[in-house]
Amino acid sequence: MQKYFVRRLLNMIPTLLLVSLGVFALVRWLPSDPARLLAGVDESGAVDPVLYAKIKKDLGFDQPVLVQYISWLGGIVSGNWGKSYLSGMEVFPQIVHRLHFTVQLGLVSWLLGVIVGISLGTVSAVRRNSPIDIAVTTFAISGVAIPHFWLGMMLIVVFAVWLGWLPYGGFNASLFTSPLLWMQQMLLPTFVLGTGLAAILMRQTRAALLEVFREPYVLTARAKGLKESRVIWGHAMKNSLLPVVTIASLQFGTLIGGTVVTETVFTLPGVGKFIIDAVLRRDYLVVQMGLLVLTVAVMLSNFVADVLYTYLDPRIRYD
Amino acid sequence: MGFRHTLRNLMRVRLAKFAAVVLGVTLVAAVFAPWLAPHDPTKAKPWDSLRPPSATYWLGADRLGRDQLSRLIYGARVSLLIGVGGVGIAVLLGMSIGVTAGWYRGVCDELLMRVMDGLSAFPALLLALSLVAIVGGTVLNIILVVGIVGTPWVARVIRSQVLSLREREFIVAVRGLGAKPGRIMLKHLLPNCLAPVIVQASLAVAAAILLEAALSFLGVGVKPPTPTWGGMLRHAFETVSQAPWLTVSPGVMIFLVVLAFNFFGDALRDVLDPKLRGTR
Amino acid sequence: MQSTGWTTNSYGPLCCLVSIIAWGMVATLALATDPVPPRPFPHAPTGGTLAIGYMRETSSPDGFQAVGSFDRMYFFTGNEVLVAIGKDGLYDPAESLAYAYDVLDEGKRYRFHLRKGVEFQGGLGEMTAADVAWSLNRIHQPDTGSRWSSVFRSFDRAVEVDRYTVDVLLKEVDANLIIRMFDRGSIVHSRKHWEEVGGAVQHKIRPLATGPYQLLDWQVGIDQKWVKHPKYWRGEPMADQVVVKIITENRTRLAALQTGEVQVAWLQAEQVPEAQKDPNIKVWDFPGVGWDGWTWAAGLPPLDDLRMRRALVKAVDRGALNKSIYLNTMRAHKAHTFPSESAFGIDAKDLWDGELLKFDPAAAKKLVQEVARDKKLKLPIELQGVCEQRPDRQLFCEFLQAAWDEIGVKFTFKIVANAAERLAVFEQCQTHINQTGGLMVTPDAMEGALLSTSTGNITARVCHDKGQKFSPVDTKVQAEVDRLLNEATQQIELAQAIEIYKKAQRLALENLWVYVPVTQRVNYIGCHIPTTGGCDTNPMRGDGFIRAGDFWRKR
Repeated sequence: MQKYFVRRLLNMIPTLLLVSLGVFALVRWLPSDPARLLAGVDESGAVDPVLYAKIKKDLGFDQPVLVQYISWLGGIVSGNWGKSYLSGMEVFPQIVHRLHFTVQLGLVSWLLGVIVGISLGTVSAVRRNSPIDIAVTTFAISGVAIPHFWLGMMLIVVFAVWLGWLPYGGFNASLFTSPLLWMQQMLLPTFVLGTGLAAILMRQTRAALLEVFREPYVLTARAKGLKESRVIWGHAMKNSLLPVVTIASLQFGTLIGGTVVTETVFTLPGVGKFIIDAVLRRDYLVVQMGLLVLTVAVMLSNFVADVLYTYLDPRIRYD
Repeated sequence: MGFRHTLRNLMRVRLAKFAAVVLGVTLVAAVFAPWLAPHDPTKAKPWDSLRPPSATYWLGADRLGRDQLSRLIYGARVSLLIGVGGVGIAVLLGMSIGVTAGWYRGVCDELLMRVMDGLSAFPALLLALSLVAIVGGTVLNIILVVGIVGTPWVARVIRSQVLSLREREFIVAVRGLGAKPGRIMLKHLLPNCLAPVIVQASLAVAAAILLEAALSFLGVGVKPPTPTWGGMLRHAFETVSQAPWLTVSPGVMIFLVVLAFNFFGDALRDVLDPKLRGTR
Repeated sequence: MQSTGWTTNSYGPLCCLVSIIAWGMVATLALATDPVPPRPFPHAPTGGTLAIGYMRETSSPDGFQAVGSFDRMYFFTGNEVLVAIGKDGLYDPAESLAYAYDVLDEGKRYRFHLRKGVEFQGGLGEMTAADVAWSLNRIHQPDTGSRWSSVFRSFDRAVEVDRYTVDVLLKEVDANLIIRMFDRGSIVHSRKHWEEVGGAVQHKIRPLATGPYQLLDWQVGIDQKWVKHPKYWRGEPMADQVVVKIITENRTRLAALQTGEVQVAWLQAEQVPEAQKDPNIKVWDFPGVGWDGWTWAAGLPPLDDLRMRRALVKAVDRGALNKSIYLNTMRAHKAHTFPSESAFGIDAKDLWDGELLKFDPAAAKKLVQEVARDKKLKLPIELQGVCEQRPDRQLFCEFLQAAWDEIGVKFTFKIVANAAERLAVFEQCQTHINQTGGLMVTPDAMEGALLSTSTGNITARVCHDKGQKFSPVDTKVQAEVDRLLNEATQQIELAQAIEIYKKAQRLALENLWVYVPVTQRVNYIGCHIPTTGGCDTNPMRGDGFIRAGDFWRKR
């Protein structure tokens, strides 16, 4: 099995290279001129041609594209990610700082989604066709259809503006030093992000459990007179959890990708918003590095999910 | 048991009916927009800025005094066009790539699939955002972008289908008879590959519509003055305290249409793929 | 009554002499210290953290390298200029690093008298003439991040006279010199620190200046943290920390103000009515800090015909525009660059309300048809524009689209991310209309737009003979505008210069030259009363922006 994982990991490398090439090309094709941006134009100012030429030279834009690509790759590996064209600040520490937040947000949302999704899905399967089941099913169906940004908007209007119970957005708390504030600020964003995942998991859990309930061994257990809760927890859950866990772990990558819109609506200091702001402002270097980092993060989390899945499922053996 | 079972069936049918109604209304709105819309969606009447719902403006007027209902109706065009068109492009591109990779295998397969892996590694919204920033926000461009974002998924599904099909007897037989690869692909492979794609297509359209709405919401969607549901939400958020009613209708429309496509997709799956029935 | 009279007293003249000498000594002593004392803070320090809500990404906390007009909102937190603008728009010595100045050599030399005991932040020591001279001289140097070289084109160099006196030598007379210095060009930084950190780019993120707060941390796109400068020359700053929070969403920024998350916030038009209704918020405004409208390429047909330009202006209902896009928080312009109430403004009601420019779509349509007929153009006439993505700017362009559609003009526009891109597109010489605004605090800003050498005048500067050409009439107009503006700067007396600027504005308006100031900008800020002191009087300076040092946290 180790060989399988090593091979999988190695297989990621050409994909990573392709991704880096893609990111590089993408950013080069973006319209407008970063050298000009750096040389600076205010609302009615001029562009100094000498400064412009100097900046172009400093950024290496006068060299052939391939050379630029290779030196960029080299820079990434050596930790020199360059400086933002707009702010002049080092890109690496900024992205790391924001990645820290995005991962935090992603993890908490994921946990919330998993817990709520699986537990409600279980309840819904156990109490089939009851009002709870119908409510949960409705939520599950709507949860995947509702646009995240709209949900976020509506929640802000209700809870932050009309009721004033929760903050409008923004984030400056630390889990360890100010847990209450942290919870307040995290509540709405994690709810929005977790909804999609919870909805999917609810359906999956419910479906998987229902299927398992029809299995002979469950009927046997019930016939033996075992308590319902033991039936569920002792037998059914263990076997039905596998596809659910698979999906849940695969969804983590999607969740990270989905933080982009949530961070924008709630003005959160994450990588997603950082990238979007950079695209809209044409801060190319940030776009490049941010896209690369986020994509690699998603790829890695998918890989970890794969590992988990393979580890958990005794039926799967790869050689 | 009997009653509950029937109830479930009834509900299922009702959901599909609901989906059909919503989609039908949306389609009619999109196609017959010029006749249905009570006002011109792009004509600004600034003195009617932010009017609440009334007899003239059933859903209110937006910041420039344009009728919200008319813009909603025309917005259906963009959503449907981009949703369906985007998936169409994805299917076209994905099919060509998937069939080529699955048939020829070897280096060709490796290369194509690597590219697809690379493409699908990007979070969809970010990829779409960057691409639109490059090519600009016209309806056609966004259809292409959405299509490109969706291609890897189609390519993989088709490829695995082709891989399993190419060893089947009838394909081997036709190959033995000397038929050219192109002909084989077109006449024999493709028709049999499409089933899983079609089953998922409806859900894909739902995802494409959500993607387009997100792009418009962020301000990189279709350029004004074309009304889009996401764009309407963007402007509505700015004036949410003066005119909160403006935030409701576009969001509800997106929600309903996406929901409908989801239901439709589920129903389609039940019909076309009986093996999966019962996982509801 | 008999006068004893000290005149008959032999001690009289002696007493007189002694008192004169004593008086002279006292006077000399008085003149040796700053005759204009620093303006003290209005309240004792209360500590705490003051949060300010700003609406966009900050470009540079050191001020000197900041590119946005609105950046004044934050960089004055820690940086100070040689001569400061007061609430009336004129020189305010009580808050300036130079407490007085003399005009010598018939206007070609300005002598600035610096305050003593002004300490730099970070324990760098006293500000002296050396620092001031260096700070001014970098305006013309290319790698200092300076973009102000053309604004200060009359400035030759600054020279230290003694420890607290600096002479500024001019190449030519410039009545506007002091006014130009109100903005960031004359920010004083420490040369020692600049060189220690390694130049412009480093100084951007680690600036040290003379202002009440020192930059502690800058998270781009998120916030800036400034900490108090205990040795500030006007006294101990009233708060311990100032945080400038970037809250781009207008809605959320207002919500932050309403809850007291921020003490002072920039308000965009949409938020003003709601903020005014809130009893916890005091809204202050400052009109006349700029205009919104568009600039156009007067040499690109059919705009080279004045009738066409007039038609486009006459098709726009400025009141409706103000209501829908700005929610009645701006003003339809009744003057040109500066509002009528300003010292620099003209009263042009007769032009705006007269046949020339009055809102009249029917008449506008006729004009368009006339032009089409004469120039043999097909209707609808097609015009290209460029607009920024920012929601209010985009709405403005959509408004123009709809308004001009009524008169037979088809207006399509490109959307760009920021001002730099906008300019780049405009400079490709195929765009007719550039939707923009201008911050016009002082008359020298007009030069930046109207002169044939200015960046704003796209036809004259870049596109002449690249598909754009002024009509003979317009060529004369440009020549006259150039003549007037140059004459204005040659005046020594500001009053004389102002008269000439007024003439130039009138000429520009009659010919709709280079830019059309459709609405007059009003800046709004909100102050959260329960937590903030300093809200009782209008805190905004003549440039339409606040100074963080004016506020304190209420206990």
